[in-house]
Amino acid sequence: MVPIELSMLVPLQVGQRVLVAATSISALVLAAAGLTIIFGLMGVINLAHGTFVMLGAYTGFMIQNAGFSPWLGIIAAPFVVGAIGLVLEISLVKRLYERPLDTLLATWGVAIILREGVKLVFGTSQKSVSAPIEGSISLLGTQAPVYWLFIIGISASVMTAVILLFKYTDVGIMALAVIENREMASALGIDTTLSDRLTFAFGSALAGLAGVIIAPRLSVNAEMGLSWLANSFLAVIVGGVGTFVGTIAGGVLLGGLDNIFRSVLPDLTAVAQALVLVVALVIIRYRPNGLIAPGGRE
Amino acid sequence: MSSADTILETQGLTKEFGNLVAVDDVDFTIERGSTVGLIGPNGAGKTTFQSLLSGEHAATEGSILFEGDEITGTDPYRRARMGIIKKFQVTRVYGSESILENMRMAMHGRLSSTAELLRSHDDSALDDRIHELLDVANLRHKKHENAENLSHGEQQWLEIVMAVSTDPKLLLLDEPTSGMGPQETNETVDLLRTIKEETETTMLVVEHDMDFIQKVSNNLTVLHHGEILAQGTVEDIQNNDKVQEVYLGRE
Amino acid sequence: MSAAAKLARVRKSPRLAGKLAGLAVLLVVPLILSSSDVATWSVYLTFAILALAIDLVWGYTGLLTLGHAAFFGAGAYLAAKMLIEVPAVPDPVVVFVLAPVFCAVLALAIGWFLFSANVSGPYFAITTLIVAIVFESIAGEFVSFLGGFNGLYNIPSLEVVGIGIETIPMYYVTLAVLLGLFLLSRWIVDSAFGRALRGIRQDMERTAMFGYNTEWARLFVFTLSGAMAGIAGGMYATINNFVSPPLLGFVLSTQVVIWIAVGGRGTLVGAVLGAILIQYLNSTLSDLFVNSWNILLAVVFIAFVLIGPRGLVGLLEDLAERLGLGEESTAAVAASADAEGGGGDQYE
Repeated sequence: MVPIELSMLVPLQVGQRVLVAATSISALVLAAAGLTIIFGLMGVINLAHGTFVMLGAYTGFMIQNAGFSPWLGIIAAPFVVGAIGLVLEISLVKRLYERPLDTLLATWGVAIILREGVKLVFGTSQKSVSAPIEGSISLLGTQAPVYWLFIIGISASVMTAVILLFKYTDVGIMALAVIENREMASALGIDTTLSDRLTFAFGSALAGLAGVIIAPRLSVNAEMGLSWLANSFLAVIVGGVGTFVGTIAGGVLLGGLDNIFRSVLPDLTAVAQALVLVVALVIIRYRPNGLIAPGGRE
Repeated sequence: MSSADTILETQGLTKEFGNLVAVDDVDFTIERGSTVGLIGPNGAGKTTFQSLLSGEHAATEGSILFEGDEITGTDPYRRARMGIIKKFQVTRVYGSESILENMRMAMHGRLSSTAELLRSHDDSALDDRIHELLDVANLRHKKHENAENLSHGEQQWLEIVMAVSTDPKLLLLDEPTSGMGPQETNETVDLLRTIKEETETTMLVVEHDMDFIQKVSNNLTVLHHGEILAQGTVEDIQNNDKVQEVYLGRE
Repeated sequence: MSAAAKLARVRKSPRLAGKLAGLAVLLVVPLILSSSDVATWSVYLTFAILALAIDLVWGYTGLLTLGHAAFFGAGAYLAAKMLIEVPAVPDPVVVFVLAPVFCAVLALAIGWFLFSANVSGPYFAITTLIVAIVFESIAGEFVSFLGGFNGLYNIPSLEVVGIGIETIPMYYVTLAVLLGLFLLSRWIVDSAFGRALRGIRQDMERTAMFGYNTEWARLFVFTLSGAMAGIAGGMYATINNFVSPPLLGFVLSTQVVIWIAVGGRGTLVGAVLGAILIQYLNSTLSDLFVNSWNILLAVVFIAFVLIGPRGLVGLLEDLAERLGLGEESTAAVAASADAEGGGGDQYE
């Protein structure tokens, strides 16, 4: 009896698993892309990045709670979080550009302030956010909410847009120029301060977007940012600091491993998560430039 | 060609950074007690060559022998313990520490094991030597000032005497007069001459400034594109056509 | 030194006077407070030891570790398991030998793994953060062996040759251990080896190229620090009689870093001051204000990160100087140090 049941269940399980993994990876990649910009490219170790994801989710919650359409939340969240990122850059980050460890500490302080502030305003209970799209569709042998496809789709299109932005548009290329060679860019007449601010805000906005689109799938609470922080950093570092493709690879690898370990060890989810972190640490230890190492860097 | 008096020798020393060959198959010897000048245009590979000797970079090919022993794969700190001490091109002293502390920090490195370091709480034994060296560098009156408050030139002199305080066998000086005006450059000449008289330490000096280097050394090697272009006395170099073309023309 | 000379020395050095005053306060605590409050203060002291351990590694050697509670918790869990399940082993051996040795081995392994790849600076910090997350989740997972999320209860209090140590004597034992480890740390940082640590913090490559074995020095201080955290954790287990996964995790680790930053990193006494003061303030605020208090603390923390590492200790010293207490100008101190030929008691 058991084997027959299993054989019927397996395809459903796999299909479900793949879609679940795909949605969490999609959101992770978006959040990690924001960190690729802020940490990978700009070199700012922003430990408040996880709280940016959290704030994106809360923005979605707030807007829904006020009676507006969830779509408004999805549009507003990146702007709201982008603005918060901008404030952070102007007030704090710009003073600490040459001091990475101090940046790490100061942004950790900011993360505490944001978390505790959210708890003050919203309390510590879990919030739920509903998806803007209802209904499900049959896919990979299972019933998948249409919204999941939306998540995957949005993430893929935004990521593509980001990569194209930095590669082919004037704005993107100038931003990169400022990061790589500040003096030269400034000599060419580019406003480097403005560029830094906008770049940082853009990275933050991506995190906010990740938070708001994944919110319907999770329980939203003030502490949710930490795992996003850890996973984003790992995706960026493992994949190869400073490349979007690397971050995508890192996100896929870590997200994939997470889901695989969880399905193999269904009763030991914490150990599964720990295993992913251990794998990541080992990769970092032996390939400090990440899996997709930029060539020839000493 | 090495003799019993050779303190350092490189054989076929090569360093590649990806496709860039910074140091190309260099055979080089330094005689004990000499002051050798390593000159050449920007990008010639002088600093890279010196960093291969100090151990900051690992050689791609070739070998380095110090006092007859192979040190090609040896860690930098071990080479420092053997007596190879470097003054960096961009000065590295401990900015937020006093000059006196800087000297103390430098002096203990080579001379003690961890256990000895832990047990050492009395610095007075070192003070005489420190004061001597600070006198030579004309920094004694500032010994309680933080190193970051010194002028650029003074910081370089500090780093030089910090290196000398460890009693090195081979002193690697990377552009000791960079950023200095003529007055300070002359003082650096005096400093190096005094050190030489007192300690007879072997020195390898990487330099751009021809005026400076000829006052300090009559044994020059010219590097170009990672290869040795010419070697000899100051006169030899000045009369060498290839060198004229490549280097002196730009001075 | 004659009594008059000693008094003169204390008057000359506000820092020393401050330390003695602080010690006096700690000695008097059990005489003023109720028994359960004394136990709480004993816990404060164990965390102060953890702060001391982290200051050695971070404040002096420059290695920001965001996961050091892993060693504290490991010591606590080891002591808990041993005391509950293997009562044959004498308690003092468990807390003062096994716990630190176990944690030293852990620290050695983790430190070797990271330092040999030259992982340092921010990457090191992030990695230690992740290590703490891993430790905490593993402890939460193993329900039968480690008690899972509920932790381990009813850990017996410390017993020496069959005699249980009561709350107040236990407080003094903890204070004595704190004092002992403080003096040990002081001895280390005031030695020439302490110079090596400062050199590593400021410019590791330069320091190595004067001949210091910087890899070994880092490993040594990291391992020692792990052992100290282990002792603190072991004592915690016997005082609190209860251990749980958060003792291993990043929240505690990062909290202690904040305590040290506020107290004044790289001063040893700043770590202890910050730890005890903030824990005390934490507990005197009602639950209603906990969020606001955390925000305030975070703001103070950021301020100290921005303006300089000397923290409260630095502020107090400046105040003392302004009030004209003691001849604390660098030149004067250095001059007297010169005259005595003393080792560097450096002001960071």
